[in-house]
Amino acid sequence: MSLNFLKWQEGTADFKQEAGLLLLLFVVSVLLIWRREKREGGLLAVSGTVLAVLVFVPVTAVFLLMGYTGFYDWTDLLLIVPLTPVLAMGGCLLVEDVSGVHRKDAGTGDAAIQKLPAAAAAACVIFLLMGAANFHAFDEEETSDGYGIPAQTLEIYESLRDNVGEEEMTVLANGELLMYIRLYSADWYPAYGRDLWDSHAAGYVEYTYGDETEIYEILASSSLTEENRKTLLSYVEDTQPDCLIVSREWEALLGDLSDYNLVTLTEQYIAYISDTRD
Amino acid sequence: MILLISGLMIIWGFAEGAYLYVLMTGGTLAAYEGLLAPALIAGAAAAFLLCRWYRRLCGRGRNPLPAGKLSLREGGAYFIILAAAGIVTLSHFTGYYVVDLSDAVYEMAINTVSGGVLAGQHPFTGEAAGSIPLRIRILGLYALYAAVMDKAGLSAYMLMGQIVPAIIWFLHMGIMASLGRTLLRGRERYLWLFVSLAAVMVLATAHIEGMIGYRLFYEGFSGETIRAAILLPFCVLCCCQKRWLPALLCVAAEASLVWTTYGIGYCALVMVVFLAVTLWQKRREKS
Repeated sequence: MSLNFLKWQEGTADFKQEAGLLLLLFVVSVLLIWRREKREGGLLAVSGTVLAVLVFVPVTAVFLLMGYTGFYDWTDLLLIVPLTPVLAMGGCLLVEDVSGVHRKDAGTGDAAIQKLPAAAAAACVIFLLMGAANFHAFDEEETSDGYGIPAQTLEIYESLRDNVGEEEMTVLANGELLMYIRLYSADWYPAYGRDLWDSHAAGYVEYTYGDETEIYEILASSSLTEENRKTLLSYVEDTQPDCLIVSREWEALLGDLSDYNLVTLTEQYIAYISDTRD
Repeated sequence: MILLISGLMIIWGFAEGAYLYVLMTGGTLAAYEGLLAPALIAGAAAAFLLCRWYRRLCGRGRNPLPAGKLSLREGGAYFIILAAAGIVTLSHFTGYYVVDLSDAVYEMAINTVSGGVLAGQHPFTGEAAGSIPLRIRILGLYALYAAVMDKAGLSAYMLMGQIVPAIIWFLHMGIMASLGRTLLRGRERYLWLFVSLAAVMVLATAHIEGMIGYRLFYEGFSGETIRAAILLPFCVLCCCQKRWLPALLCVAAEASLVWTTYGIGYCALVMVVFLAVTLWQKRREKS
């Protein structure tokens, strides 16, 4: 059982910043509700706190993960915490505090009430700054950096693009290379699904691949035995992928493949590009 | 709102029953479609009768609230916030955006329409039905989408990427309004603000993985989104009003919409915690 809840520490800066802000606002809201509310609001605040403790304390979080989300990430557990009602209630009480409407001496005078919209708008700006302000288009530089495609993998992709252009194609390669391929180009398709290298997805769908599992393991291995070579060539002949990327050390073993052109990508990798693509 | 959502869950229960019956008899999409209309009518009748019975049991308007005396200025400000958040959210669904296609529901619905067989293909491999785990096969949401797509001639994107998320958003807002009415007793002035903040929360969490906005914006059709936007808030609403029967409906609905551990999902946990805190509060009041 992996400690998936540690994603909190591993998470991206954005995730920590935004979810952290939400958590901070949740705590402030709970305190506001607790101070002022005894009835339904009090029930919500206490229950919300208990649920938040269950999700955020590692010991209980592990049990929840085992019971609920063994195949998902810890972030899925966040749904259990009633964030929206607590934060909205907290926002209302904050506005009430700021406007001073609840104070007896303030009464319902115009001066106090006039502050309400401004306070509400201020609360909304705080909420929006946490996430919605991040709506922005991705550019290529951010895609490669922001999603962390390893530099060596990026070099292989760029070399491949220089050789084949922007056309659609199916790529057969080891999991490490295919893992980021859809981030780099939406026109390139991995020959087999991500489930083979993504343990979470594999656990979730619980199916067994056929030949792909064996091919995946062959391509992931550092050496190529004669038996594996035959299996790989047979698979390529049957499925006819548009592109096969393998280690350069395998060039001598694989030789020239019929219907494929050999292209050197980097010092470590070569690619066989299908003739039929044109 | 409690009666509306409870009614919808009862209707969904009948649709799920029809799905399971057809699935067990090795039926096709056509057989499911044939059974769906009677099941929905029977579900609507059952929902009507049960809700009427429950309304009599609980009495009318357990939490009656006046609409609240808002000045034009206040009401206008909150309305603008709510309308802006609503327009931004709904406009997201009207355009083309990246739907999470990796969700099994999306792919299974498309496969079902094209193949005409319920759970006929594995969503990721295209292999035969036997490879789909039973715990996923019993979830019938995809079949409902497939039937609607087939009968109404809607594309998968239009139904699951645009129409369903918008409906879920409206229901979410309705539940939040009811929750606001429950929580803001004596502070009815802030009901609009409460709903506005709930609408803003959907936007504010749109880029935080696992949060409600993220789910609604990128997989607004999935069972998990229905759980996040409807079932869990509704469960909290029922628990705050101490109406445990509708809360139990949430637990049952979750078990048929999302994979859960033997039917014990998030709603069950939320309900147990609220029940425990309610009992603790009562004991504290007595002492």
